[in-house]
Amino acid sequence: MEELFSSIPRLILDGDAIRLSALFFAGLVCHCAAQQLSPGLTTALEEFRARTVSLNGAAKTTAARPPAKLAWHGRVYENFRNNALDAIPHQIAQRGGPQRQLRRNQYGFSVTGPVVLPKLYNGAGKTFFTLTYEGVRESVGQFSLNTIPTTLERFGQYGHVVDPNGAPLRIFDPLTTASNPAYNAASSISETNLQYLRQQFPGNQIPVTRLDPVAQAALAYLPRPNTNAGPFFQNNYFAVTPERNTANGFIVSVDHSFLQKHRVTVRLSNSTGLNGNAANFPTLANSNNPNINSINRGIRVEHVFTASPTNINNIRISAETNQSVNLTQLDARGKPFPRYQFGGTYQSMGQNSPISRDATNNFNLYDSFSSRWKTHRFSVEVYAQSHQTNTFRPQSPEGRFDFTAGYTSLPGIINTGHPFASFLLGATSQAQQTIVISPSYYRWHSQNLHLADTWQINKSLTLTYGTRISHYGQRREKYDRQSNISFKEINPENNRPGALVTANRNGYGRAFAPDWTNVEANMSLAWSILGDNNTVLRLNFNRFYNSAFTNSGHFATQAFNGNQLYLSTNAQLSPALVLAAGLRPSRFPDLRPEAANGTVAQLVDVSGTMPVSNNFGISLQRQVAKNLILNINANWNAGKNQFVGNNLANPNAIPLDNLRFRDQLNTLSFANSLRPYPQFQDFEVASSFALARYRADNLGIQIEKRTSAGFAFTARYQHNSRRDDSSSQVQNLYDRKSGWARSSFVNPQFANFTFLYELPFGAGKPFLASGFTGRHLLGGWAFSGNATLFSGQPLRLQPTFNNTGGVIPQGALYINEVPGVDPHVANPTPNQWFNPAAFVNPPDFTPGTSPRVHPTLLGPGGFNNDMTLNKRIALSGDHSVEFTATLLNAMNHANWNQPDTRIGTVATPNFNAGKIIGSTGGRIVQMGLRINF
Amino acid sequence: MQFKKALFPLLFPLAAFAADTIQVPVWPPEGESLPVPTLVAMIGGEKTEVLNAQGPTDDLMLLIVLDLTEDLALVEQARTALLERIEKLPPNHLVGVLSAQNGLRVLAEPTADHAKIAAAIHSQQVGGRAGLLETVEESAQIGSSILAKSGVRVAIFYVTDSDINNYREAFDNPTVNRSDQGDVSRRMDSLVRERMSRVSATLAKEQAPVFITHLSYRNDQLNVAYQTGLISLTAATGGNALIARSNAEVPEYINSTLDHILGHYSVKLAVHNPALKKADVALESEAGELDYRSSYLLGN
Repeated sequence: MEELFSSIPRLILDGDAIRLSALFFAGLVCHCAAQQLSPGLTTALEEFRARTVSLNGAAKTTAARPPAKLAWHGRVYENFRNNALDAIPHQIAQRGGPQRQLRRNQYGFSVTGPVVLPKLYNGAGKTFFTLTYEGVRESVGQFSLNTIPTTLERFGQYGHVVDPNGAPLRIFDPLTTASNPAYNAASSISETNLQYLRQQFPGNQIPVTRLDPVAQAALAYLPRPNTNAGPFFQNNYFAVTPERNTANGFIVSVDHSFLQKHRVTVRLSNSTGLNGNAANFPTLANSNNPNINSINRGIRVEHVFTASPTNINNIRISAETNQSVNLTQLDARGKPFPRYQFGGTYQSMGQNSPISRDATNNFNLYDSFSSRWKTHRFSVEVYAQSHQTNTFRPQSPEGRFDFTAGYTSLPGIINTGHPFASFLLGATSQAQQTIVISPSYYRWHSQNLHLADTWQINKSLTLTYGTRISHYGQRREKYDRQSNISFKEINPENNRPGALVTANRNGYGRAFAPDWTNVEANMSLAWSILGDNNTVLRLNFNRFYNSAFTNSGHFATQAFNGNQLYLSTNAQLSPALVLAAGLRPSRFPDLRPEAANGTVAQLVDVSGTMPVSNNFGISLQRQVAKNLILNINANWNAGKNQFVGNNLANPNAIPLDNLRFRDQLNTLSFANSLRPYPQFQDFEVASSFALARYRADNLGIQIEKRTSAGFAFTARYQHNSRRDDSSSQVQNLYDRKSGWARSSFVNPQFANFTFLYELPFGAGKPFLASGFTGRHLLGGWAFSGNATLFSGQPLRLQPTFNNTGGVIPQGALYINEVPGVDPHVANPTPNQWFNPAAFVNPPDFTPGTSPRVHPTLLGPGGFNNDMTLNKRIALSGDHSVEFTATLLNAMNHANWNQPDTRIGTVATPNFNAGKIIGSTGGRIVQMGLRINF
Repeated sequence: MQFKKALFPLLFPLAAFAADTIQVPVWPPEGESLPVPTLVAMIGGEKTEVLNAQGPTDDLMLLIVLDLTEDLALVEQARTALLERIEKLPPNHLVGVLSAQNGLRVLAEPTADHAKIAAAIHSQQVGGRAGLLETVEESAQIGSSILAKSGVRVAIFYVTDSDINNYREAFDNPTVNRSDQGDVSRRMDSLVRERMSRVSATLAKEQAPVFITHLSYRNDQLNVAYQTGLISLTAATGGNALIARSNAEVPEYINSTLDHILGHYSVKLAVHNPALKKADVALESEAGELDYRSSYLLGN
């Protein structure tokens, strides 16, 4: 009789309805009689069989399925923004400008369903596809507030220019420089004891005949001031510049299941886009990043094999390519604008890396095998990656020219001279030009093996432990065009350690640093405590290493792609280069051991030191009521040997005890003689030196209600404490411990509230579930929101003047605290956020004594609140229409900008210190319409 | 109970003439039984007749639907808990086993043969694509049809560890364009919520209660929306959803859900107004406050 029953589905396909019913009934009677079922259960079983006759594929016969109906589902959508719906951003309102333009359309579709080829193939139940397309067209006005030279300054007229305290700023004529016969070398340089005499420009004005023609030509590309946010002449250029972004992309995937144990997925993706960056100047001299054209393509093939109910294997192979091209504006000669950088507050001219082309290819192989044995679940994961990066990215192909106040100052006297005045004279303090002969073709690879076991020790205790073994290959260049400084080699020019070496030559390998192999451990534990399962204690520990350095610029190719450097012998007395003289021609490659002498030499860390972090966490989760879960958690994180860059690692830094040489340090040759490797100016280490430490702890509490009467919410509060020696520049690189301070980028307190409320009307809801009004007008509404409140970040106070002869780099000098003066104010306001009188610029050639980051002062906190209103209209079947209105920054709240943290000297305090200029924010509305089918 | 059944035609003489009916899953206060003869039922504020009531010792058809794609350890615990509990079921409680992965499939017809049930549960592979959302409407329709035809108690019980990201349908609005930096649609979970609303609305038309035990509590935004939606959609059918936050909770929640299912009464009420599209049900009993499904969509 069982055989008889199993034949029923086949009979259905044959269409023999009468015979079917008879046999079906006979089968039921026989089957039910054997189980002695009640009449009700017999009827139930009969109904079950009737309703599932097409679902018995596994149990009965694979031929049982009727022809599948075309069950494609998906959506078509459009989201748009238009500035007519928005509030005027506070930044614009404060400058009195009109609304900026915002047009944004994001549109697309997604469709999923069985693959059906009429009369050829019916993939219902086994082969499915998904096709997704999305396009974006956006035009948005981006705003920026910058400081540029006043109109008079452009002509060399400095009579109106003031220092940070509002007093007249004097500029001096470098051509009048003369040694002071009365100079007393035993005393510090001061206005009464000058080493060099220099006359102020008559009327504080540079004669027109002295203006450098190249600088004058460049000024044609610099706009005029158009606002006066202050203080004094600062923040005088406000721009709302259009930015265009476009994107097109699709993803197609096919998913095929076969033999009940196999599933194969193939996924292809392709997208192209223009990532616009608004220009801060509407000319060739724009110093913001250029627009970028990008292309992303990828393919992924995945096979999941369920070998048995306790053994699963998953293998995935993928390849991906990402390409980007900078689209900078070029002049009539096809050249980008040079980069002019002014020390102080003036906005730079020209872009970094204006021309670049990058292509990155990643090839990945991943396999994971999971197996269940008794109370253990074992997993083995293998992950192998191969990377290729082909790059052409000269940072300053037309030169980068730095200007400081020194050349127009009274030598040795701070608060005299001006960087822009030095620019008008064409006198650079430093210049460099990047020469890239050919693209770099980098290759590197990594392999990981992860072993883990989840062991259920008893009913209430589960332990997961594992280890990861990783191997990271160091970066190679396809044609071995890499170089480094080796301290094992003797420099032929000065017979001291440190000379240029190149990859795969003279006994050096294709990569300079050794490959990394490390072992990481992790453990977690979940324990249901207090005798019930409503309370879960979780502990976890992880130890993990960073990936090896893989910088994709032209770092460490100095012998092949050079960076021509021009340095002043004394930036107060003579320029490194005069603009009108132009750059010298250069020759690369230059593989000589001494080829890097006198340059900022590119140095790869060959120590093999690996950045490592440890994390320990504990959480207590308790269900305090139905669907209401309380979670209290604490985490401790610590890391050492973290990667740092040039600002935080310089093996050639001059030790601070040499500050005793005071103004002699301004003489390049003398300063360099104090360096550990005097043949080099400095070292460029990119972000590859493993030196920094951090400690980050947090304590959080979260209460979460999944849903009740249509209302769900999550409320979260977190207290963060983080300290490090690397979140900003460290004054003394030979005493990193002294730089240990609060991390300047962490918000100590953070609160977040998200909610969703589905209005209780319409189908499936308590009220008005039927009728036109209830179902169509009042039904299907949902209201959700996300509010975030956070405290300000720790303030890092900086001196206005840094007269340390370059021993302490710009930005690294700390300030001094004034004893007995409270830095806090009772009620911080934008007019006075903190008390600047509590701090003072350190004296010349003296390190600051305060902590790197202030231990208690915080910047302004912030608040943001996004709201979404959603209306769903059910149509027939699976079809529906959904309307969405999203209000980003719904309350149109403005968050204050950061206060001015520059601290002046006693004689020249910063008038603006502790003050806040303006606020940011503005409500943006996004409307969306989606049709689901 | 047999005595109560015999009394029904006498107690409720209009039962045979009812134009339409609805089946209400009812739970009396803990530790109490439901005194059916004292039950007072109202639909839309109008008193109506109780046509029938099946209690915990009466026949039951339980359809267990397995949707297991993620974690072998959790699945093994769920299997063990299910089988231990099923072993104790009386012979008038039939259990059918279905699979939701790659479409709804029957692994074992409803039977009291515990060995067959165990074999079916063990035969279910862990893997494939998550299928709860794609099958729950169909399984609820099957359950409702059985409920309507047979009058025995029926329950649909999903055991799932599904991740919203493992559905064929993309709910995450995948990042098609990496160059699009102004997109906020990807941090919204409205796609998930829309789908859950759609399923909930469909299930509100079905009368078989749906229960879900999800084996893995997830905290990412999309899965929070998904698991919240599971709670909503089961509530629309009079069932419930429990989401285990630890391994220890898996057997506990499986057992408590099964106890909940086994302990329910299925009360059949007369609906006299054939044009009624929505039925707001109110039940009162001497036993105290009852837990029951109070809202039904009828017809289209």
